[in-house]
Amino acid sequence: MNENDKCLFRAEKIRKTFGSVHALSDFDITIQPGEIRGLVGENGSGKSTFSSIIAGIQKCDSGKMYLEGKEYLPTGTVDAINHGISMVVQEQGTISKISVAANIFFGKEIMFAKHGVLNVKKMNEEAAKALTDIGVDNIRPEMMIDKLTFEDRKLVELARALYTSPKIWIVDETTTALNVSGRELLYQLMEKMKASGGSILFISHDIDEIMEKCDSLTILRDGFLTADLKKEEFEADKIRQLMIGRELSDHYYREDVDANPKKEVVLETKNVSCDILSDVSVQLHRGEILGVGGLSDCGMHTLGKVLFGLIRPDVGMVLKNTREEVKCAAWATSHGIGYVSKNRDQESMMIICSIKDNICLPSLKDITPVGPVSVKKQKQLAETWAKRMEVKADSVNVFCNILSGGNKQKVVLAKWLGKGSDILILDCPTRGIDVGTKAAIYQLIEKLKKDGKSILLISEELPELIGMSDRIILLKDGRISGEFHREEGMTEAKLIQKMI
Amino acid sequence: MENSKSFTAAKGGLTKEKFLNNFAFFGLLLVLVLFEILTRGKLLGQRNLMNIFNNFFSIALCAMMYSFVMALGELDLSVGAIVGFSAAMAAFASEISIYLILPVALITGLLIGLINGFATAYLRVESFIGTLAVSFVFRGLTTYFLNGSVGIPIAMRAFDKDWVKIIALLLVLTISYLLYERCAFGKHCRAVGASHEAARQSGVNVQKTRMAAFALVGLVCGLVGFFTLVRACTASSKTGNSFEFDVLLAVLFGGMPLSGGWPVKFRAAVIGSIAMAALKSGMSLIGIDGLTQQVVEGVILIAVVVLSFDRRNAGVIK
Repeated sequence: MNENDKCLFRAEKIRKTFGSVHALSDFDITIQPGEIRGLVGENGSGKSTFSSIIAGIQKCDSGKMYLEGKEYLPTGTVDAINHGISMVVQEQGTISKISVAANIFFGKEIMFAKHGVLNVKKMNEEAAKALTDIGVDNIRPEMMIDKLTFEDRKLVELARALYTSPKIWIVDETTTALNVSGRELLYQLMEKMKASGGSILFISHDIDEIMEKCDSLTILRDGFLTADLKKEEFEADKIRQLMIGRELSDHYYREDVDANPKKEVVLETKNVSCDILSDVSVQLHRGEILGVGGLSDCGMHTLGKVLFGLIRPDVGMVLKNTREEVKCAAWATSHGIGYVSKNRDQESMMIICSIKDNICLPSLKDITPVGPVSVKKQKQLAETWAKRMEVKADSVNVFCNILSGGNKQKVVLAKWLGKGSDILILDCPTRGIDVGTKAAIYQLIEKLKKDGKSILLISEELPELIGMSDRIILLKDGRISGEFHREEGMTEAKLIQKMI
Repeated sequence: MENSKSFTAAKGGLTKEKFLNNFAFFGLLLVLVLFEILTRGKLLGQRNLMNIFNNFFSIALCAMMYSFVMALGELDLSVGAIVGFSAAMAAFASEISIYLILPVALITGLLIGLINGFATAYLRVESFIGTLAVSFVFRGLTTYFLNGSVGIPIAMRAFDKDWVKIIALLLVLTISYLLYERCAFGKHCRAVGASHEAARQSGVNVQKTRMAAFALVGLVCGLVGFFTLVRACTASSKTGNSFEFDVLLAVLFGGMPLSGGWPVKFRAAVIGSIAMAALKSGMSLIGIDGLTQQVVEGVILIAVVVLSFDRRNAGVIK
């Protein structure tokens, strides 16, 4: 096999099934040294399955992999790392309740042990070096990981992945978890690694990002390889089409400019201060899509939680219909407010639980107020909304842990639509979701507006905010720094000015 | 190869679940067959069946309500102490009026249950620590108040009838089954166990749910205390001794995972209680003394916990 000697990594006819689902079917890929290889596909197309096979998290059913010409069959993640393959993922990959340094060297503590005693000082020094190597200087190695923000924890993961100087670095949808500066850092690290002859397998939903950063691209659809493209062949529409297998309608964001606001305030905060927020007064009107944006630590996620009653403000009030105070999440739920968290797998859904029970949970008391809840009605509710949201699953009894990210988010939305909530607080509803589902969510938001529902859309992506909102409020360091109206025309440049 | 096999099992979830559900049935069958042979048919003989039923009765009463606590992913190690203390309080109450025996037992149980719930839900004490502490407190108080033992009128034996017990059992069975499998409350308990944050964000009042689950266990322990009292007609500091262990072993043997959530099945409480009752009775029949019985039960506890822990690691990330 001459070809094998030239390339860094090669996989042949990889196949993997989960029950009756074919996650990967005869998938081939060849990665050259010093290239950034993109891997795209809709949710559930098999990208993450493949990356977890390379990283030794799971084994393929059949097929062969070669690393530098030699057959490669990782026995586990540690073996994969020893072979020079490391990975960072989209969801949280740090271990809580231990320090940053302990996270970076998790499983490698033996390096710093002498006679069975861990030399914490040495480990911290080495961790500090690992962090500065990737250009991070605001994280101290002895800090507890739980004190860090979601983004900073991702940076710790980057340091951990790169400390071993891998030959292949798998970046699995990590950019969605990072803020702007974190992304820049990640791009720099990728370039640096590429320059030193390493290869990167870059998985992302962001087609612009893929087109800009990747040298070549592999596209997956339903577990099949649909195309291998070179940089010269990149074209956004073509990539989308290959991913989805049909023409995407041009209809992505809203097209109307008319905001058509109503005067009636349905949900508001009055001079709220807590956490990072200080003196924030926001009003959401009936039938309005209110965008909330800013840098990721500006307090917008806290604002969403405050509005839903998950966090009680230290000062100020949250009012529904200008008179009723939002006391707690249970109150908010029963009074027609729904909330979709940014942290889907931990906060908005139960993973080890069926689709049906996830959808029915907030509506149980509506189906039957007292006593046994009708089983038939529960099933009806779940099936109706799972179908309307086009959740891909054999039945509503399927557990959510086998669903893809996009499908999970559809279940979460189905939960609130099934409940019939009038006010929806959506915190990054399209985070880490493929373009197909994204478009479906945008259409849904638009339809909900037409039905007279009020939506608070919190997002880190400016195009999304501009594309969807009637009005945008920008936060900076916990204070409102700007407000824009759809009819006045909104541009990214204008918004960024108020964000930073 | 073995690795990949276990992975598919974990990913599918169902294979493993089937195994565990069947494990409970097989375990029950194994216990019955084994002791039926060892006791040369005496285990399931007519006389001993009543014996098994009496054992089963108190374990099952408590185990059924214990499902809610297990669904939450919590433990209650104070059930034995609640039985003992409520029996003691009821015995004192009988000196005033015999009509007070049942209500006092129930109210005492409920109150201690509320203390457990309050500690877990509002003070955020880990339930196994909190209930263990409560257990010590009330065991101590029982010994202090009783100062030996207190008797009740022998006429109260009238309640120690099979038909009374069967009615009580069916009543608790119906209520707890409906609450657990069909009502919002049972689903809320499982939701909190699956992910308390997701439950909270879906409008479940997590603290109230926790509180109510512990209160229910307390209440039913009061009932168990009552039946224990009318059977022996005295309350002593030994009443309800190691009962928490029997119940815990029963629900674990029945296949309830310690991690809580949707895999906690109600039928596990019933199957596990039958198995426990048969096991205890079988061991007594073949002449294993009390101490050795404890050894056997301890070993079984470790075995079932290993099994349910394995399941927890199988891709279940909370």
